[in-house]
Order: sequence, then structure tokens, then C-alpha cells
Amino acid sequence: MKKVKFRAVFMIVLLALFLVLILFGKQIAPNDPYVSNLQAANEAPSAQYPFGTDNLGRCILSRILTGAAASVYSAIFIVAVVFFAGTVIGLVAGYGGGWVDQVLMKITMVFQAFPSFILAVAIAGMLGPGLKNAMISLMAMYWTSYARLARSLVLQVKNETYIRAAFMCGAKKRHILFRHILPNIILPLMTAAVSDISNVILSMAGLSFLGLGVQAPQAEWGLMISNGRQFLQTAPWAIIFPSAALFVSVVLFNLTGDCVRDVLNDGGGR
Amino acid sequence: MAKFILKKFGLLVFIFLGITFLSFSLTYLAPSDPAEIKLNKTGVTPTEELLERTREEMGLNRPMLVQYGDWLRGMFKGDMGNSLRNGKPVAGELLKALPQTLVLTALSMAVVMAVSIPLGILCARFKNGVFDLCVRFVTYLFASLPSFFLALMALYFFSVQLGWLPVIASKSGGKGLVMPVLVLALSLSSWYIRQVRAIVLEELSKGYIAGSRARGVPEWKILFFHVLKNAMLPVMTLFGLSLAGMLGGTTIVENIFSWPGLGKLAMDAISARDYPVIQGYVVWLAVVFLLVNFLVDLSYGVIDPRVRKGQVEKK
Amino acid sequence: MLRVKNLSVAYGKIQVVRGVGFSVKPGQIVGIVGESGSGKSTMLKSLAGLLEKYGQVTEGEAFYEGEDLLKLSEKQFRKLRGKEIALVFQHPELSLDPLWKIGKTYYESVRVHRTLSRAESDSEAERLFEALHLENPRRILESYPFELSGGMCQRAAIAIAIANGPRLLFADEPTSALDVTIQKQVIDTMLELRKQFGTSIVIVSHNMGVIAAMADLVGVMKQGELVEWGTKEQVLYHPKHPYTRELICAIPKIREITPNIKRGMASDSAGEEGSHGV
Repeated sequence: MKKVKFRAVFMIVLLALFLVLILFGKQIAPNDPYVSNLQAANEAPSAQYPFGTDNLGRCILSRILTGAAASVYSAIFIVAVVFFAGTVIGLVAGYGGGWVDQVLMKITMVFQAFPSFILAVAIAGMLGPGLKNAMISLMAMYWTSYARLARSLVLQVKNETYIRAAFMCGAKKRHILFRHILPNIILPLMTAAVSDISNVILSMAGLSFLGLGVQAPQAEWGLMISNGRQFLQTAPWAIIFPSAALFVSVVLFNLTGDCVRDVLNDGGGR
Repeated sequence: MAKFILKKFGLLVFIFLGITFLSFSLTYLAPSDPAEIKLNKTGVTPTEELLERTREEMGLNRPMLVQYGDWLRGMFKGDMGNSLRNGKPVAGELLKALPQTLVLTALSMAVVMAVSIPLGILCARFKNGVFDLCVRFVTYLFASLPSFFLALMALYFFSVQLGWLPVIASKSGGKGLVMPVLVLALSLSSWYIRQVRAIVLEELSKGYIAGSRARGVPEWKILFFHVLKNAMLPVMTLFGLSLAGMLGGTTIVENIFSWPGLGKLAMDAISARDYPVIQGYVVWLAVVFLLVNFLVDLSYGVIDPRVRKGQVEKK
Repeated sequence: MLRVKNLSVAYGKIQVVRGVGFSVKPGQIVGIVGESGSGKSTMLKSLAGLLEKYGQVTEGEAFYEGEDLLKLSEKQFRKLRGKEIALVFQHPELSLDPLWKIGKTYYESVRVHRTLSRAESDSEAERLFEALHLENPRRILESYPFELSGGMCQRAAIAIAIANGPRLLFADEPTSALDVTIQKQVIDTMLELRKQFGTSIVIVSHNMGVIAAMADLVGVMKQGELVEWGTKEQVLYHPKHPYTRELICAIPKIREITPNIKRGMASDSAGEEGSHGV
């Protein structure tokens, strides 16, 4: 029990440090991420360029640090939005019931009937490339799972004896909703959200890789990997380091999500 | 059984309409005017008058629902409009690309199943053993890597360093398929193995396992005749759902290996703002996804007598 | 035929069964009562070699026909289970494979220990079902567990358990998941079993009424220990341990009818009382 809690706290602190680090990514960067220097193109890692340079001679480490915000913070923002929107929709559907529930769930069903990433590609493709549009398309891809989860949690909680008792005692609907139902469903939803951030990071990188996200010369991990493709033979570091950055952030969010879930399950089980 | 199929079929029709409607509405997201794009392609300078006439010709002035109805009717007749880029019928373009994507998906899915089901069962059977821990560790790593990184690494080692496999898949027949299939299968398997493991673990904790042991049934028989069959139900559902990720993966992998499937076609269409093709891409893949999941639902009825006889809903 | 001596079982560091000993003679029905968590099910499982991985027999012997069960290898035990010793569980619909028809499960049980064809197995099953007064044996064999009522399913499960003519049947709360009226049918089936095949039965239950309806010898378990042991009459009429007295008093929740029930349990026509002794 204690060990589980300790691990969760440790992961959260680690994640927080990571988030702070990339928040100041641009300031920490050893070189200017946008200055190209064709004399130093595709250079292997060295003291001056710890992760090497790309085809335009830009410092890869600096670009990774600068691009982190677009990769990680955009994912967090997306999850925050779909978390909020999905929860509201799920609450309305689950709590309201009746035809409102029917209509909302049918809409959710249609959205889920699309292979999710395909839908995101199509929406981003229609809207045209760009960070904002990529974010919109990912929101369209991710909101459904929150709506469904929130709804099923509401239905579950609604049938608990103490909620029924509250109803019978004549408690106000709003009071029940905010005092009893919301606190009970918010934790599982948040756990899902933390684990989901890593999925969104990967999807975002996928869109950028396809050229649908952040546009050059802006630094973004997926885009950097995409740019490095042509120089796979001569400068593999241009691919490896941004991928490693993606990998680290995905693992961090995943592990944190797992640990938080363990703590919650432990607490709920006893 | 008939009632079961009928109910499923009703839902199928509804979702199909939903999918097509949503895909059709996507056009309204586009910031630029299709009429303008079409005129630009033909090299005519678009005047306001000309634009209006082209819109009229393309039927863009009518109410949305009417346009949708026409579009849907056209789709059933195999007419999905013409490409804004080269004027060719969209349906033909899609029809050329679809089999390529399906071959890629089917092969990858087959590899995923062949790898994941035995590994997942072994991991569950020897839970927390050395083998289980190793597999879980490796799958955790691979699940955290983007598929395009795996694809590029495969290219780097097998094509650039070793020179075994071609860089561009389409020009080399069967051999060209090896890497795209491996990459797709690898990224999905790492997720799938963990899911199969969880499913089998759940089955192993069920009462009929103890019941079979009490009757003196040997362990291997329990695993192969009881657990495997019972686990097939959730594994089939998983198969249907994971197809979404697989189809999404094809879009990226096709572009890396230049495989002439729907994903490649779609990306080319996106850069040319060829909206009808993008629309076709999303509708067709959604329909493939829908149909496979419909079949999975039906197979549930075949495998599980409880579903077939309408006793319980699919979990 | 079964003699258990000083049996102790632990889950990790927690001692669940402490020094339990009793014996069963051929054709005898032994009932073990105790509330949930008293270790009675664990004891039964350890005697069948079906403890979960983290459960372990720490001490004791259990001689079945002169052989110590607790020293058997997993393989030897498996050959014994279903053939010599059979088990019945609380939830029949869960302990049978939900995707297999009763007939197929029956056939599998039979095939594990003997060689015969499916047709032979089916006709054997029909005869057995008939002997145990199960209506419409053909239909039962053609049914999936979920298609049978709880009582019917449990009786079919009992029939499957004794398909190979075991001489000892362990029944773990066999009636606890069933309606009161159905419980009687299951009890009758087990009594029929003893009458026709001379099967010894060890039945474990938290329900004193069920035990009273069936058992010749009664043991009472509390916190892993066997606090009371004797013939049914001894235990019910002259309980020595205060806990047993509590258990007997607790049978009917309504005080007023307690004396009735007690009288009923002491009588010899046990079957009937099983149904309203709950």
C-alpha cells in the first residue's frame, strides 16, 4: 500500500519536473533552434551540438527542447478539452436519460464507428494543415471515450443505494449531481485522462509526421522525424533523438497513469 | 438467431447512414471553395460569375440534405464524383487503392493474431514468470514507440544497412510487403499481447477452470479446449476494435514505404485539396471497419450459445 | 475411508485451517458447518488438491484408503479427482464451461478416466440422470448450463461429478445459491446418491438446516478450528461448544419458531426439514 503510493508520488514529481523542463525548453536550448548553418549540415553529435544537426545545420537538441511545447503541451491541452467536453456530455446523457441520452449516445456511436486516426487525418486534411487544425481533429477523435466512460460511471453511481436514498430524501437534483455524482466519477475519468495523454502525443506526432500538424520551420518532434527521413543514411540521429524524446514522454505519462490507477484501485478496494 | 441478426443489421444501417452523413459534412469544414479549386486546376481565372456557374454545375447551391441524398445515391451506383485534381472518377481511384490497403491490413492482422494469441496465452499461463516479465517489458517498450519510428528503423537496417529489402515497397511485389507488414504487426502486437494476456488471466480465474480440475481434466486440455474457446469471444471483439488502429497505421506506413493504398492516395489528395477523394477515403475505410465489426458481432452469435439464444447481450 | 488428522492450511502467513481432524466411513454423510471465512471451504479444497497457488498445507495428514492425499503429486491427484473423489461447487452454472453442452462436459469427464464412445457416454448419462430422478435426461444432455434452472443445473453437475462412480463426494455449499424450495431437490439428489451407490459425502455449508437434513455426523468450524464434532443428534441436542449453540439459535431469524425447527431437525425424516430450516 505504502509502496504503491510512494511510487505514484515519485512518478508525479518526475513528470512535473519533466513538464517544467520543457516549459523552459526554449530558454535552456544551447543553440538557436531556427538558425540554419549549411556548413554544419547533418553533423554527428558533438560538444557543440550534443544531438547533432539536421539537414539545414540546425541544432537538434535545441529543436527538441523548443518543439516539446508543441508536442506535449498541445496533447495536454487536447486531453483537457476532451476531458471536459466528454464529461459534460456523459453527465448530461447519463443523468438526464431519456431521448437526450439516446441522441447523444447515437452521435457518440457514429463517431466511434470511424477508425479513429483515419477520421483525424480526414478532418485535418479537410481543414488544411496546421497545429490548430490538427488539434481540432484530434479532439474529434478522442472525445467519445470520455463521454462513454462518464455516462457509464454516472449510471453506475446513480444506482448506488446512497444516491437513491438522497433522491428519496428529496435532495435537490443539482445538489446530488455536484455533491454526490461528480466527485465519484471524476477520479476514474482523470486516471483515464492521464494515460490518454500519451496516446494523444503519439497521434499528434503521427499527424505532424504526415505533414498535417505543425508546419516548417516550426520545431515539432513528429515533423523533425519526417524531415529526417531523406537523410536516414547519412544522419540517423535526426530521427533517433526526436523519437527518443517522444518515447520518454510517452513512457512518463504511461507510467504515471499506471501508478495513479494502482493507488486509486488500492483505495477503492479497501 | 434471426432476431439477433436483424437487430444487429438495423444498427448497422443506422451507423452506415451516420458515417456517410458525417463524412459528407466534412466538405463544409474545408476553408476553400471546391468550385474555385476546380477552376484553378483548369487554369481559368475564376471570376465571380464563373464561380457561381461552376457551383451551379457542381450542385453546390442546393440544400445540404439534398446534396447528401444525391451523394449517397451516387455512391451506391459507384459514382463518387470526380477528382478535383485530375478529373478522374473518384470511385475508380479508390477502387484501385483499396485492395492494396486491404492486403496490407489482412496480412498484418494475420501476423498479429499468429504472434499475439500464443504469446498472450503463454504469458497468462506462466504469469509473473521470466518469460512473462520479458514479454511484458518488451511490449511496453514497443507500445510506447511511434509506428513511424519503427518503420524508419526497419528501413535503416533492412534496406540501407543490410540491403535485404527494397526501400519502395510498391515496385517489388511480395518482397516489398515484408517491411510494411512487419512494422504494422509489431506496433499492434505489442498492445495485443497484453490484451490477450489479460483476457486469458480473466478466464483462468473463472469457476469452470476449478470445475474442470475437479473433474480431473488435465491442464493442457483445460487450456486448449476450455480457455481457448471461451477466450475467443473477447479476442474477436478485440480484433474488431483493433482494426481501427491497424487501418490508421496503414496511412502512415503506406506513406513511408510508398505503398499505393488508400492512405497514400489520401495524403496525395490532401496536399492537392482534392476533397472528394478525402471523403471517399474516410467513408470507405469506415465502411470496412464497420463491416468487419458487424461480422465479429455475428461470429459472437455463432460461438456463444448465450448470445445466439438471446440470453445475454454481447459484453 | 477418509481420515484427516491435524490438518492446517495457510494463505501466505495467515492460518486459515488449524489442526482439523475427522474421519468419514463408507456411505456416511459428514456435514461441516461454519460461517463464511471459517476455513471450511479451504479445508475441502486442500483435501481435493485444489488450493490456489498461494494456499499451502502446512501440517497434517489425510488418509484416503491408506494413502496420504496431501503427499500426492499433482499428477497422481488429478487421476484421483473425478474417479475416486468428486467435487460439487456452489455455483453450478459457473463451474461448468458455459459454451459446452452438458452432454459434452459429461463425456469429457468420462473420457478423462475411461475409454468409451460418445454414444455410450450419452446412454450412460441418461441412465444415471434417471436413477437420480432428473426429468427428461435427453433434454438436459442437449442443454447448455445457462438453459437449465439453478437447481436442475446443480443436480446435473452432481451427476457429472459422479459419472465415474467416485466413492467420496465433496460438496462445497451446494445449495447456498439456490432458492429454498429448490434446495430440497438438490439435497434429495445427494441422499439418493448415497442410497443407490453408497457414496460417502462431505458437505460444507453455513446453513445448519441443510446439514441437519443430510448429515450423519456434524462438525462445527470456527476460525479455522473444529470446535465441535459428533453425531447429528449429539451436536444438535447437546451442543458442547457455546458457538454451536449460537449457530443453532440463529437458524431461524424469528425466535418464536426456533423450538419447532429444532424438533424437526432431531427427527429422522430429515429431507423435509431441510427446506424450511432456512
